[in-house]
Amino acid sequence: MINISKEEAGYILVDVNLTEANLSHSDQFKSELIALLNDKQRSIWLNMQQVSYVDSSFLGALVTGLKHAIALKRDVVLINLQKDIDDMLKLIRLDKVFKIFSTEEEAQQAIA
Amino acid sequence: MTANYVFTFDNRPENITQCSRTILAYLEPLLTENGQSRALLLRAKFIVGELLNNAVKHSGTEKTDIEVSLEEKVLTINKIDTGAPFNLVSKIEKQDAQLIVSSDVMHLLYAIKKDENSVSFFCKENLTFELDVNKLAEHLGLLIITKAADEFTYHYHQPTNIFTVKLNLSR
Repeated sequence: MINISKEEAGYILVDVNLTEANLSHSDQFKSELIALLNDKQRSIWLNMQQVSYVDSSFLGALVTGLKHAIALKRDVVLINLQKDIDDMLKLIRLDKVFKIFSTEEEAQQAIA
Repeated sequence: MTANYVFTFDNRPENITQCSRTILAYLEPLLTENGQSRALLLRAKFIVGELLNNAVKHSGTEKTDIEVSLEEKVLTINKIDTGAPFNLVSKIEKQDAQLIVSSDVMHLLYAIKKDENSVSFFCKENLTFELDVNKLAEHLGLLIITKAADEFTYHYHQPTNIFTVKLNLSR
């Protein structure tokens, strides 16, 4: 469901291999994200390019993952969001919670 | 133009995507014919997805009906089942009294009693919040529906639960 595409000193770039990120995937996604944070002890940058829909369960899993990351003094960053996902995040104001960037390069310039 | 259709969902999580696609395939041409932008379809998509989630998590039944109708420039989406009632109706005693359904650092979600059997949902944003990630809610379904809808209500008429979402079409 999530695959590491690049490991850098400060972060791991991870592809989210889902089109519809909904209730049927959210528990597994949450487990994989938390396991990766524990294992790598680095921030996770999620490449969301493939994801065309997210629901409340998946967003809840993202928030859980962010809480876990913050407790480890790391972060969960969102990259390459499709417009519908961006609109959903804005609707419930999660755009004020997650760091969101169009590309990995843009994220590097801002935070790496 | 008027339209009405009932979709039956089997309450299985693995079938949420297919059911949602079926409903949206019905809605897309309907809204386009009525001169609506993609923004309204997107709001409907968020709402349908969350109603189906709610069916999987809370209905406790083998099926849920999603009834979609368009009349007088209002799109109405009803989620109908005969599962356990949402206890909000009995929890709020007086008409027009309010109850906080959920709260976090950014939102307060309220239910207000409309009559003996109905509540309506509304939300207030905390515009001056100091972000504390640990104070963020992780259950967001009702909040998403409330914010995406123009009107969102729950009605219980034994043994039937009806969540009703209304979206106003632009003129």
